[in-house]
Amino acid sequence: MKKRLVLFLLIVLLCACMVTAASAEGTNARIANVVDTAGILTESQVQALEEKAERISAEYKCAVYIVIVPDYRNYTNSRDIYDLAVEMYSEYELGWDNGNGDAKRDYLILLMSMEDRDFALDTNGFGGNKAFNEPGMYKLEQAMLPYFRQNDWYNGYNAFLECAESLLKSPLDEGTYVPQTTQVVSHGYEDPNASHKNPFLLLIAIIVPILIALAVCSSFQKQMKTAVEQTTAGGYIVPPGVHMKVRRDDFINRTVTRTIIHRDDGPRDGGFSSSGGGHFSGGHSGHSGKF
Amino acid sequence: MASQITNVKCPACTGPLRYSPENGILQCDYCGSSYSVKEIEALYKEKDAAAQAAMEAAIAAAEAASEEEKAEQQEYEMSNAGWGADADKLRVYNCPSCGAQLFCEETTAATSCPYCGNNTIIPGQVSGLLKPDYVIPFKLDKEAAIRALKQYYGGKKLLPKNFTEENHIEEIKGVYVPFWLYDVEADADMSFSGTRVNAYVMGDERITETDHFNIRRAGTVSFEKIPADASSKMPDTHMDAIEPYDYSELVPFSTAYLPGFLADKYDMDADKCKARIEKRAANTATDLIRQDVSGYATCTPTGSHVDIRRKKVSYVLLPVWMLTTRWNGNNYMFAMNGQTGRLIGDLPVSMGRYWAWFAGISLPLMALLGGLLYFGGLI
Repeated sequence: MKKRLVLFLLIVLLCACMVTAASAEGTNARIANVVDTAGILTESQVQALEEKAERISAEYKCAVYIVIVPDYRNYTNSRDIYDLAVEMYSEYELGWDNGNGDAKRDYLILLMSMEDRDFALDTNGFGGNKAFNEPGMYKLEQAMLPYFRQNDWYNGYNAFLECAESLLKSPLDEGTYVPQTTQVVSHGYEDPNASHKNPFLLLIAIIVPILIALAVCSSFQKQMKTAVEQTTAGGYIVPPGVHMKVRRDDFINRTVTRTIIHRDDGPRDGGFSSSGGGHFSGGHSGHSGKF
Repeated sequence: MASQITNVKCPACTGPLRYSPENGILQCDYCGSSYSVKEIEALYKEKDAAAQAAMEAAIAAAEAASEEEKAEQQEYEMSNAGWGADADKLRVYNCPSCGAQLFCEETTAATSCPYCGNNTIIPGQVSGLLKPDYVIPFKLDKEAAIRALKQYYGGKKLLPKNFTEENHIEEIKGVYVPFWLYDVEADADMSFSGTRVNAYVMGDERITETDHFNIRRAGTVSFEKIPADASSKMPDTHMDAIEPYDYSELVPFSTAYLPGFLADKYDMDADKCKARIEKRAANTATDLIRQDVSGYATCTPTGSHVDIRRKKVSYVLLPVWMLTTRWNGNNYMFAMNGQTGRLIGDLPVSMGRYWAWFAGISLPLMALLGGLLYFGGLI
């Protein structure tokens, strides 16, 4: 009950930070894109990050959030910060609202809890899951975590936003990212009349034998050249071999990846590769760990 | 003037003696007498010492002489005039048996007189500071080397068809090659980044927990008797490739093992050769340290530092049969370990055979794969 109350207070707090988002589709985000309840950023830094996050959100129709809290356990009963990120998505109706009532709103959130230096990355919606797939999540972590480990918060969030923008942009360049406002009819749909014939298999039928023949001929050729310089000295080691002096294994951090398991018992999210499960709402995928 | 070289002759008939690899004794091919290494050592101890003293005296005289005096010394044994730029690398000795002049390289320690056939040793090249600590005597003879070469040709699929028939051995010689044997210790300190992955399924989710670690390993590896050939005339690749030798058969050096073979003294000192040994020791040490890291899904090296400490260096002569053949105007050099019989050498490649094998493997495979895919309705 106490936690519910705190959660309610947080909602009030987040609503107080709400800004008016503007877009052609009339997006109406319920909270600001950047919320710092832990007070690690200055007002001007929050303002700068907020403007950047808003611009990216509007440009790619995928809302990007940064939420910093003192301790996530004050807002959820779950023991995993990732659960709070998922709860916030539904509680605050986060994500880019295109106005057609679709429940899967494109979004990316970076939720950070300062008490135990926990973080969670969560995404949802078609665009979010496409742009912030598993390699994308990894790239985001690589971009921001080095700054956070040095308590360089502002630059870390900047790096996060820039990396998020590049990931949103990159699928667009390849023609694979389609904003949610565009109808995706054929996603995950297979024409039953389509031919199973694959011209690439013909190429494989040619290339594989060539590679095998090259490997065999190379081994024959190797037999012709036996005068080779030695690069190791394994035969001259004095028993019992290596005498170890230092053996240290230091744990640094843990990252957690959640991937939905596809079942064949019904349609799911138009063929998304990952979506929520368990007590989470559908369409989520993300990472959590320590910084 | 005393001679700088000695001929190892049969005490019974004065015929040339040679070291026999089959039974480890010195044999006379003329009268059939045989002698142990110790008997010949004792017999030639004084002669070797006199030859060594003569050589030292000649060297001292040559160094002391002025340019004019050097010119006058053409008649002496250490003369080297008339050979242009190579003169410094040549030495001339007189055969004590027939008096013929023997032109040898400055590193030559044992040879044979081309005129009288006597096996000749130059004790001054293998005494004092130049004396090897140990030697491994030849265990395999010339016939074994020829047999090994013929066997080596067998089973080589890309060898030109007429190579075996038209290829003739031009030269075969048993050489005691100078080697340095290094005892070293390698201290390796390496760091890695590693991950351990724990994946499990909960409800509709596959959860993958990845733990990241900084790993450090440091340790010492001791090496004993890593060989490096100390002769610039011998190709390093050939000398490396005929390893290893069985060091349990190392014996203290004696000139009695040399008759019948060629021998060289080193012309690359231990410092010049150490870089090759250090590289080998460092590579092995880092491999071993890396193997100590276990239990990780991924392990990526992030840093490495290796210190090599040299503990002891021995100077030894190791037996090598060098075979040179000629085919299609090209020379092919082979080396055989005179102790273990391991033979190596580069052979010519028939490109016709290469492409025939290539086509013979790839085309049937293509037909097979293509057929399977076609009849399977996939292409």
